[in-house]
Amino acid sequence: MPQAIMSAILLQSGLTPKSHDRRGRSAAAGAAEETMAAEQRHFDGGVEQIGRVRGWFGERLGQAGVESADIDAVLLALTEAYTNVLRHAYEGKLPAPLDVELEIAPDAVFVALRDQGKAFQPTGVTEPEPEELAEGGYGLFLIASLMDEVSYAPADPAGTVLRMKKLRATARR
Amino acid sequence: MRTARRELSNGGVVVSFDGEVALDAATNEALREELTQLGNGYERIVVDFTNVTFLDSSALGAFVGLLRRLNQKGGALRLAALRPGVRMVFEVTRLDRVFATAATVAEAEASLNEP
Repeated sequence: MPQAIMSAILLQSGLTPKSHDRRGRSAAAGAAEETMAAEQRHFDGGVEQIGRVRGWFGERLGQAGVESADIDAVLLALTEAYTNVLRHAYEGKLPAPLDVELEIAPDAVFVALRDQGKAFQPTGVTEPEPEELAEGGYGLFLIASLMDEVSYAPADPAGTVLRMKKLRATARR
Repeated sequence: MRTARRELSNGGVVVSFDGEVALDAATNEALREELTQLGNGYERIVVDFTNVTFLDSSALGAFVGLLRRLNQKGGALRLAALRPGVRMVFEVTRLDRVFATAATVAEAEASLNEP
C-alpha cells in the first residue's frame, strides 16, 4: 500500500509526516512504536449498548494519555455515529450487528464503525441555526465538527463503513 | 434515570439527577418524559447538571424542547454546573447562545429572580 510505504519512508528519514496527511488505517498501525494496536469489538444490541462502547473507548483513550477534551470529542462522535447506525441503517430493528474499531496513534485517534444495514451516505451536513431551536438534526453536524476527517463508504456485502480521525491536541500544536 | 425536584419560594423548581447519568439515546425517552412534565408544571426551571456525565444530540434536542415550551409560556430555564464534555455539546452547536447557563446551582437560582 503506497500510503504505508510513504509513512515508513518518512519515519526512517527522520521526517515527521504532517498531521493533516491522509494516513491509511494499516499505515497508522505499526508506523510508530507508540501506536497501540487496533482493537476491534463486535456488538449487536440496541441503544443500551452505546454506553458500553463509550466505556471501552474512555478507558483506552485515558490509558493512552489522550487529552480529556479530545476524549470528550471522540466519545460524542462515537455515540452520534452509533445512534445513527441503529436509527437509519437498522431502522430500530434488532439484532444490529456492528464492528467497532479503535486505534490510538501518537498524533491521532482512528475510529471505524462497520454495519450491515441499509446503506447510509450523507450528501452534506448543514450547520443548524441556534435561534431556530430545532429539536433535532445536530448529530451529523457534531460528528463533522468534532472530527478532523470523516468518510462513509459502502461495506461488502452490505452496509456502511464509517471512518473518523481525530487529531490529538499534541498534533495540533 | 431518577430525578429529584426542589421547589423554590418563587414558584420555580430545581431538578437534579439522582446519581451519575449519561444522557444518550438509551435514556432519551425517560428524559423527554421528565422534561415534558417539568415544562407543563413549572415556568421557572433550574436543571442541575452536576451528575450528568455525558450528553448527546438526542438529549440536546430534549432540552431545546423544554426551552421552546418555557419561551412560549414566558418562563425561564437555567442550566447549572455543566461538565466540560457537556458544555462542549452546547458550544459546538452554538446553542450556548440561546441557553442561559450558570457555574453553580446557587447562581442559577439567583438569576431566576432577575427580570
